[in-house]
Amino acid sequence: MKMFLFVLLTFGMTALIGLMIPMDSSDEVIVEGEVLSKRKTTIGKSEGHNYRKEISSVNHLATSAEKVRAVIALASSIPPDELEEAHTNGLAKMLGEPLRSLFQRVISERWLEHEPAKMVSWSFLMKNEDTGFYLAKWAMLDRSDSEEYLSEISPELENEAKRGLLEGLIEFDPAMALEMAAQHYQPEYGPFGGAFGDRIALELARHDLDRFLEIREGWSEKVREETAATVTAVLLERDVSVGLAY
Amino acid sequence: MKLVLVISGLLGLVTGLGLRSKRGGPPSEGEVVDQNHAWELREARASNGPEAELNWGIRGDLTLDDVSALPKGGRRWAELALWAASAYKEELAARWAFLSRSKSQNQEELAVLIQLWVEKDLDGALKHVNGTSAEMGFLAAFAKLDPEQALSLAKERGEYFWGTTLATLAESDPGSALALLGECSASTRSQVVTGIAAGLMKIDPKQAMDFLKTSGVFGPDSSCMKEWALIDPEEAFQWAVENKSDTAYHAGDILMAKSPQAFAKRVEEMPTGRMKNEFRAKQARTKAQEDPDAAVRWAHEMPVGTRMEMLLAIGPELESSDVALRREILSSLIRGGVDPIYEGSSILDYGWPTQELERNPRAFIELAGEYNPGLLPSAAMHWAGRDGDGSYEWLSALPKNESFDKIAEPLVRSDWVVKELGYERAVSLVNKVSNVDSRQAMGNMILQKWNDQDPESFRRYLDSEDVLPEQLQWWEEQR
Repeated sequence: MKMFLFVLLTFGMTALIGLMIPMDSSDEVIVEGEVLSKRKTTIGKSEGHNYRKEISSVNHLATSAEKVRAVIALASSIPPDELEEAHTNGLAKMLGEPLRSLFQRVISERWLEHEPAKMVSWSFLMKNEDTGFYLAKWAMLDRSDSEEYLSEISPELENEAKRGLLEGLIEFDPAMALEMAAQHYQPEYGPFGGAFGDRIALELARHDLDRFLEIREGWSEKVREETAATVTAVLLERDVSVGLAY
Repeated sequence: MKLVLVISGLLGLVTGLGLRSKRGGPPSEGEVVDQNHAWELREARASNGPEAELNWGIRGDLTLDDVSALPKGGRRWAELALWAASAYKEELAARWAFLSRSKSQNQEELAVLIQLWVEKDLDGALKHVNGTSAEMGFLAAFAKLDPEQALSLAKERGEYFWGTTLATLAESDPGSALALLGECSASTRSQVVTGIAAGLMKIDPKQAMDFLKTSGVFGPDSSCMKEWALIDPEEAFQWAVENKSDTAYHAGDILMAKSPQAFAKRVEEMPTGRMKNEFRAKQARTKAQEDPDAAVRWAHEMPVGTRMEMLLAIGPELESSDVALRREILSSLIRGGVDPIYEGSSILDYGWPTQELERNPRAFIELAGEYNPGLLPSAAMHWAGRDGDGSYEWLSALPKNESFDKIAEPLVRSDWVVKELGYERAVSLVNKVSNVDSRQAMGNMILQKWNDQDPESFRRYLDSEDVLPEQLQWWEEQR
């Protein structure tokens, strides 16, 4: 009996040691390698880049989990110089929601990283509701390039573009939005011309009231008057008595 | 004995390694899982069918905490979708509860989550969303799995749910939805029509647009038109023009971007009218961005009315690239007078000539005075409203005649301009008006306001030499 217990104890302890040995990263590589090889068999680009066919095959996959993986794999793998075509050919439209929007978002952000001016122009052309989001992403990637683009944009789109940019930046980087508002200021029209609405001013003041007030000091009396209600609103949010006194 | 112990030890080690390998390491921090989760994740991924290569830095193995730390955008959305694709139903429920509670609900994330959740745990998902605002999202997801059951479940919840679910189904099966369209009430019909059109778009865009046109709910839809135009811009544009649909503007934008020559040819073939002129203006703007001089030459080749429209369209494009050319255009517009096509409108109804007037009012006014006096009242109005001193200097130097009357009257009737000029100067302009009736009417109006706003300075005016006898008489009558 003692012998049996001893053997059992030895088995148990060594099993425990086995469990405790740190996992070799090569194990993971093998597992991942298997997965990778499987992946390559379905979404390879070696046979004529027929994305329509590939998207069509996604629609025939059995489960949403499979579809999610296949859609993300395809969207993340289209070569950068083919992303424009993927947009202009309306590839995403072949998918149903929510995969359509997911696919579109991934290829659009990738195109933005590759050719930002083209991507944003396309977004304007399509009257895409997310254009501001892409302008803001671009500003975060390369502020000076995005500003140069904005300075050359058709006047028809100017206000819409600037408003979209500020709204996007408020979400991603309100400090940058505030600095851009300070920089792009016209005495007659205020920061960013007519694009600087009450809502944007309010969000920026909420983000950093001190800096907002500092920047506002440099603005014309007319623009300061226009933004006085914003300052009051933020002060009231923070402390009613201070807001009322202001 | 030793041998038994060695064998036992080796067996133990092998078992331990085997268990460790199968477990795949400890679960990541932040995941709401039991200790076997990671292993099951891998199992789940293996059972997800053919795998595909992920690129663009998307990993597909992030924990929920890692995903949540990513900035909003495509990567985060993709990682969340991949996480959800291999998550436990309990994890999906927990994530759903978290997102539903969060202040800024991310609808994109919720839509992916519910689709995957419904497939993994229909009953669980239904239990969570029952009676909440997410019920519709659940039904839309369920409809992709089992259309009949989803419709039946939706019907129990009322007409709105049934109609919306049918609209979702219509995107993948427009024929079946069309067969049920007659059962829709007026309030849900529009949704289902939109769904059917979206479904038809995938099969035959022209059929989809014809269906929308005759559906009695909407006219042709801009979103469908953009979709069609991406695939076949010429045909889409042609259809919109032939059907006199405003969606032609969407198709036109896309055709112009894809093939400017084809766009130009189609525009030339269009019948004369507002739409053709607007497309030509669009061409003018595009040409001006590429080669301003060529654009102006092209505009001058157009018949008179169209030429004015084209030149007006070109102006904004030159604001930063060629200010001198823009001023030349403005000059030729002022010389050209009022656009004969747009009766009653003047060039000051467009933004950029007004901008030029504000920047260089004297030059604008002098040019207008010489070639197009009809522009002077509105031009003077803009100037006086922004620059009381400069405009007054010019106004006070004008001779007293009928044309001065025409300029002065709108000025003194505008509170905005009077505020900029000040009452004293405004009244001095009134006093220069030659038509007695107009002068008296304007004088009475402005003097009354002056007295209301600033009685002290008004009295000083009454005592001054500038006051007219008729004004003193009016004041006596008022007292």
